[in-house]
Amino acid sequence: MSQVTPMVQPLLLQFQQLFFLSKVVGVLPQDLTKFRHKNVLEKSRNGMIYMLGMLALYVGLYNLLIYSFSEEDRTLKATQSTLTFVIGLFLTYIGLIMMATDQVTALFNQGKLGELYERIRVVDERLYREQCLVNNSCIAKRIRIMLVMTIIFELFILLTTYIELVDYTQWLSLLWMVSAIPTFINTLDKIWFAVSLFALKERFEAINATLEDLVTEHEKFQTWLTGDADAPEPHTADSSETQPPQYDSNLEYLYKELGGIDIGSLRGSGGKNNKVAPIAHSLNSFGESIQTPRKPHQPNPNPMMNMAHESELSNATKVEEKLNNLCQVHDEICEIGKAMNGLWSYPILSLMAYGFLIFTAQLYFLYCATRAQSIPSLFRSAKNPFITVIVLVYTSGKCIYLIYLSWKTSLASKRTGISLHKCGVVADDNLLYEIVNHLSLKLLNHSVDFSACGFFTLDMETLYGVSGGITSYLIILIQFNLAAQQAKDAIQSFNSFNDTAGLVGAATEFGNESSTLYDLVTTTMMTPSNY
Amino acid sequence: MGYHIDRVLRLHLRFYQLLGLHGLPLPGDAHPSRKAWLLQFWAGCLLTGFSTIAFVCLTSDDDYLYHDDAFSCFNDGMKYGFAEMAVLSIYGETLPGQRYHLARFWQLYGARTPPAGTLRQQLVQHRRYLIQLYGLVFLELVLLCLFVSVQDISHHILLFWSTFQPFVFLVHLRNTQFLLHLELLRQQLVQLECELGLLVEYSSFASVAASFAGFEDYLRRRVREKQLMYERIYELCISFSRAFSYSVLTVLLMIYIRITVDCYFLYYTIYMSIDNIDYYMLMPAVMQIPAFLYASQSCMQMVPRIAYQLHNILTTSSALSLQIQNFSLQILHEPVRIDCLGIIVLDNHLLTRIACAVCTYIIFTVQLMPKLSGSSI
Repeated sequence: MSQVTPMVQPLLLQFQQLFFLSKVVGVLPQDLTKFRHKNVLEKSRNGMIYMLGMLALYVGLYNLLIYSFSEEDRTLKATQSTLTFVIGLFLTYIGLIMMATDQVTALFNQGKLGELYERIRVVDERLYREQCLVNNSCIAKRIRIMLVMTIIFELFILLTTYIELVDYTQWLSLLWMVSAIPTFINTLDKIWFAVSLFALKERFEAINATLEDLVTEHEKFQTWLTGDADAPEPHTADSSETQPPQYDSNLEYLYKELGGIDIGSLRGSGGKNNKVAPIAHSLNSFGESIQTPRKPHQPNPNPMMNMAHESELSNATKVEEKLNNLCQVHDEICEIGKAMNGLWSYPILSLMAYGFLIFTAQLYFLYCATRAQSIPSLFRSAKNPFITVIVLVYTSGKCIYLIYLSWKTSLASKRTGISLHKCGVVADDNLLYEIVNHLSLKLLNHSVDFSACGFFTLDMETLYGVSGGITSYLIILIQFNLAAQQAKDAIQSFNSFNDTAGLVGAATEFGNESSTLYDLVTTTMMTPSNY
Repeated sequence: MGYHIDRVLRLHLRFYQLLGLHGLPLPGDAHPSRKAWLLQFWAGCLLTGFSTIAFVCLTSDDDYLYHDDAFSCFNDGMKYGFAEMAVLSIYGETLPGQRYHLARFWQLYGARTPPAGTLRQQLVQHRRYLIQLYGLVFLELVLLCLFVSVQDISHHILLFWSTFQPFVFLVHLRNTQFLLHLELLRQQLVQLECELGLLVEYSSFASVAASFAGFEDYLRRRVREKQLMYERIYELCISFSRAFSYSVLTVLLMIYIRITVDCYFLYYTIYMSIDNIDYYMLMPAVMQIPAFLYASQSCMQMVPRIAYQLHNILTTSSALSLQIQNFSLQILHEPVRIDCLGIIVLDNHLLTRIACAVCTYIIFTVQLMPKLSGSSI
């Protein structure tokens, strides 16, 4: 164990920039210097105080923002239908709530987060011992891309809204910059989750790739064994299935090494008589000792050079240990996934709620803006369709990416069972079948599914429900809006008509008739049907 | 290109190639790589053409969309928008990255099926697909002819239908392409089930009448063969859903949106007493979704049948029972499940949900109608 430990890079090594940024803006409270030197996340009292201070600062600034922009909303309340006003009021604090959820959860979880990455490191070591390496280098790239995307989106939304839609002659308008803080902090927090989830997915995929490699190696081994280059499918030949292959393989390897005798002719003459177990085992251990860990996603280091194929699957007792270990690691990764989901369950729930509400509200306000109605000042980005599209892409992109990644991770974990069965069927050995059946049941019972506090699972089926919900609510809101507008128009025209009717009545002095006329007109005006 | 397909399939794949839907050269083509390049170029041309039509229709001031009130105009625009999305995803899937999965599908299919003998056998084998394809196309053409002969064509109707109908044709033919692939998948599953049924009969016969030495081992090997076969079928299913991942979603979505919008217009034309019977053109679209969902459901229903047949095999030796257990677990791990991007399982349950959703939206929009038209008058 001691000789492999330095070989495995800790996952957190890739998180340097992200941690620094998160620390500065107050997403994570952990100790910066310890992270720098030892790549571990440890509790820190100073960090906690700093983070609470940042939280208080943000809340204060945001309230100031709301207060300074609320002047415009007073006129909105006076002129507009109450529906728009109430929706605006209801959604005023949702961004802040989301941010506070993230930060408070991070405070509570500051010890557990470090443990999580420690567990991932242990998993990496165990995987390394099973000769399946996980490549972490693309994670740093991924983090960088996500950070750049976040900054581009935030800056674009902020600046275009500020230039286009905010009156920037007043110095108080600079407070508008605060409006981007909650979403930015939320996104940073979600990048942590997304990248860690991606790392888990990679580990699942590494396990699957190892199992698939066993299969392809065994298939090659069998084609080599039958000595028939023309037959692509070794399983159809019945003769090769009846005999235990491991002894033959090693013997043929030996012959090949020693004399370069033609394998096909040898098999034709020999067949089942070559069962010499002790030699086979010694050779096998020799073959194992020179083997080096493979790089991930490379099936065979040099398939052309190594003419004598080896297959681990042909030795059931040895492969049993390997399969057992891999399944245990799989279980451990599932457990880590569940723990990670637990850590982020409240932030994800608040993000999904935020995404749903903001998506609906933004579209509704866009509708209001196209009808030349005024909208709450905090949602002024809806006045411009292009900015609205960007906002919607950003918000929904965040939510959908998390859902998509959770779904993919869950799929990758289920894929392990499939690969395991492939191993079993290809090897066709009774002992191996027993192992595979046992492990397969274990995998079936132990799958990882991500959910938001148990309210809904994070898979693509949720999208179906959410998109249906958004459409329905949008139509209902627009209907209410239309009804309110028509009622208001009717009242206005009624008032104006009232005056003229009164004038007419006074001028012509036909009191009775004018009142009937008045009744007729009011009834027609008050029912906003079409003709 | 080491696989064989029979003549009926070949003919239909050529047809899809002509429409740019099947981006692979057929086995036996001379210059496969040049052909692939040509097909891709052709798909690119078609995509540009369709996109230009959609762009012109959406931006032009002419009477492509129904301009009398804003909501109807928005609805018409939505039809074009979703049709354009469908076309984009359809031709996007002929790009090399996606084409790989389609190639894998045909390789897996062609490698393990012996081509049926005579033309008559082939026709019988693919009858489900052929009936659906020609039935749907025939219905569509008949309705179009009737529409042209009965309806007096106004400027708006001429512009709208001459631009929108190509999208409809393309999307519906894509749907029949899905039907073809699903039908092939179903044939494989049915064949597996039949072969397992034979094994069940052997085993019961052997248990009561005559058995021979090594029979159990023979049975075990046969079960293992079936296991390998099932594994291949599962990969077939996976490569189908990967090859058509986005276009299944967008094609269904486009047909669904069109049905919803046209139901609204059906009510609208009657309500406003407009002389227009183009809502009859909705019929083929209404048939498309059930045809697809039925095909995918009939694939998915085969899996429990296979498991049932598997457990009917009578076992006497532990080795055979172990093998059967293994197969059973494998089926549990590899369920044939056709869903578009994991969003929803495509079975008849979805049909009821779609019907419910269409009704709900119709009620919403019908409620909305007097208010909208009242404000525009």
